[in-house]
Amino acid sequence: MKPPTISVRVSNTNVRIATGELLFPVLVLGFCAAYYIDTRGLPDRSMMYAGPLLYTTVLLAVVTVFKHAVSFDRQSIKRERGERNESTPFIGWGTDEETATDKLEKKSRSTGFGTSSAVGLAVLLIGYLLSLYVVPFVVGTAGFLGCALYILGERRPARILIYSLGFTILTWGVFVEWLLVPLP
Amino acid sequence: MILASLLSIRSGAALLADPLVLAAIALGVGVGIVFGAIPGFSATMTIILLTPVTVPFNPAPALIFLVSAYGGAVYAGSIPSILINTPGAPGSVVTCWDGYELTKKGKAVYTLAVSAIVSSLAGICAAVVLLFLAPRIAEFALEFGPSQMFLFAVFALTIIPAAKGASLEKALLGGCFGLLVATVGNDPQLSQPRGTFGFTILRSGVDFIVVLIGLFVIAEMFQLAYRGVVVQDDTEIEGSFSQIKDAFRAVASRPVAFIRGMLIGTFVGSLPGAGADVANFVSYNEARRWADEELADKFGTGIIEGVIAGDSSNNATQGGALVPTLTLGIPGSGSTAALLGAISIHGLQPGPGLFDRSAALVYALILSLVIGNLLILVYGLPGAKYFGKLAYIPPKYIIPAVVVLSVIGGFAVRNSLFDLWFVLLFGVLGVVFVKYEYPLVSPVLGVILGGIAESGFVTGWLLNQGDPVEFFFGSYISIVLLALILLSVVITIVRR
Repeated sequence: MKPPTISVRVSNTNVRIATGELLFPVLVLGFCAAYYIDTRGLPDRSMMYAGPLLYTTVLLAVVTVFKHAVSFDRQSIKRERGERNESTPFIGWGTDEETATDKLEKKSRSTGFGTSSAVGLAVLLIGYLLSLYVVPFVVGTAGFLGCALYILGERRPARILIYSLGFTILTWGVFVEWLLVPLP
Repeated sequence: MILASLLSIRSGAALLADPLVLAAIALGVGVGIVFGAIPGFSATMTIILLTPVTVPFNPAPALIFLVSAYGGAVYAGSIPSILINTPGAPGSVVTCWDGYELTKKGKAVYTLAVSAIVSSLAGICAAVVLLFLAPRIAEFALEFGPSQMFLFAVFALTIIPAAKGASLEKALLGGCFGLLVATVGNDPQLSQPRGTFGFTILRSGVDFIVVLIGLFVIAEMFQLAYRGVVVQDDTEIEGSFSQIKDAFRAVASRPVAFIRGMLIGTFVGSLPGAGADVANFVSYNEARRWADEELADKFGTGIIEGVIAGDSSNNATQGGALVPTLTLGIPGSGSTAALLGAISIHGLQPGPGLFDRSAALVYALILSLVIGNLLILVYGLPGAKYFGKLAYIPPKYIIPAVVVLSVIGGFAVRNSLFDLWFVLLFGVLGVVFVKYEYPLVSPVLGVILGGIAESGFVTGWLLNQGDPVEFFFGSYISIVLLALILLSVVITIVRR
């Protein structure tokens, strides 16, 4: 799955925005905004180092956006106009041509893996972490292991049961009974 | 001074005489080889997952176990590269190119033996270099004042794109994000809660180990769940003792190739942020560049020079990467960042002064590398083809187990469920990082260096009474560091 590239025509320029490349810089900018709001009341001495670092990070995020996520193309507009003779505003939405990653995704789908199993694992992990607040480690872990194995393609109930219970008991035995390491 | 070093080496050797420590080395190398032979299991992941197991033990056996596992995992990454054309770790990618071609020609045992011999020898040579070089660097590092420590932290971040060939702005953005994350918590000057967003637990900051687990383990598991490469067991491995004898002859007749790879690995490993993944590409390219035209054309078609170039460099990075880790508290790679975490968990403070405070343990760590790399030969020569079978374990059984071990590792940092959300968050971020080519090590290094950078900047600034000229150009070390920062930026720009 590839995030789309948005094309926006502004006057004589075709602006292409690679939304995937925006992900991290925008997240950083969001974090910086929240950090600024949280720290604006602090004394100067507390922000003596963090203040300049915050502004440097914002600057780098903006530079990264303009260097990697946004591109301006005047030539293609001129060519298109020459060919199609049109000048109305235009907004396009689509992805680039098929890449090696897309081919890999197709291949992995045939083996039961792919976007759905990766996203499924992430959702399951959220559920697992939430479950650790309310149920004991052994129960949450056995449930997570069983569900994860199912999502990743195992359909034989006996194997799911043996794997989830076996690994849970093993980790409990090693960490709690033998090493005395506290578990969630 | 030399006498003091020799006495410290002797006390380190005395620590190794403990049967528990020797068992830790033997077990560590074995476990490291088992983990490293599984495709997708890097040395970094191996150390991260094994660290919680070491918590109840004394620092000496615990850290020596982890260092031994590190060496074993780096070597074992080459086993699936040679047998099934799938690198066990990023540091073994180039081994595929000639190693697998040799396997297809029926020389699997010969190639695995060459890999074990050069990995072992390179690891030992790099450990000897570390033994004599690290104390000198540690002494020199004691001359670093606060502003020099700040500039060194900046240098460590700017050299990543130069070493890894990554985008300058992406690497710096990742690094600055890490530095900013490191400022979350009570500020060191006035103890005011800074960037904690009202969460009391964040007053003690974000531990870099949870960042490391997220970026290097959880992100890899998400990607493995996406790719899910299943390896078919169709390689017949046949071999005899004569192939192992041939392997020794092959290495002995190519000393220049081995020494060049070992030196490149030691040097690249000592650069902050650059590890085995960078070293083996550089070493392979140099081997091809130095070869005569006829031999250069054969690289990639199944020649043993290609395997020697790759494997001599990746194992030599162990010794090199431990130099900045132990002497300056600045890791040379993702794996040594994980080791740094383990060292902190065991109550030691890496950086200038560690050689004075814990000389015996540090020398024992270095000497254990020598024994560990000898054991690589012992395990690797007869057992490599059997370890290669581990590559066929289906990922559906690996992924859930590794996630659970990561959760245990994330919780063990300070017994807090809250930290596990950071593990998840940085796991998702790690996927974005890999997809959009941000160096993973940048934010980790940022979080690790945050404390050093802040105390260096604030103390240096106050000591120099806010005079920027004095802060940046006040000593020859500062000027050299500024020149190195400039050089790494220029190299990155020119290379791109």
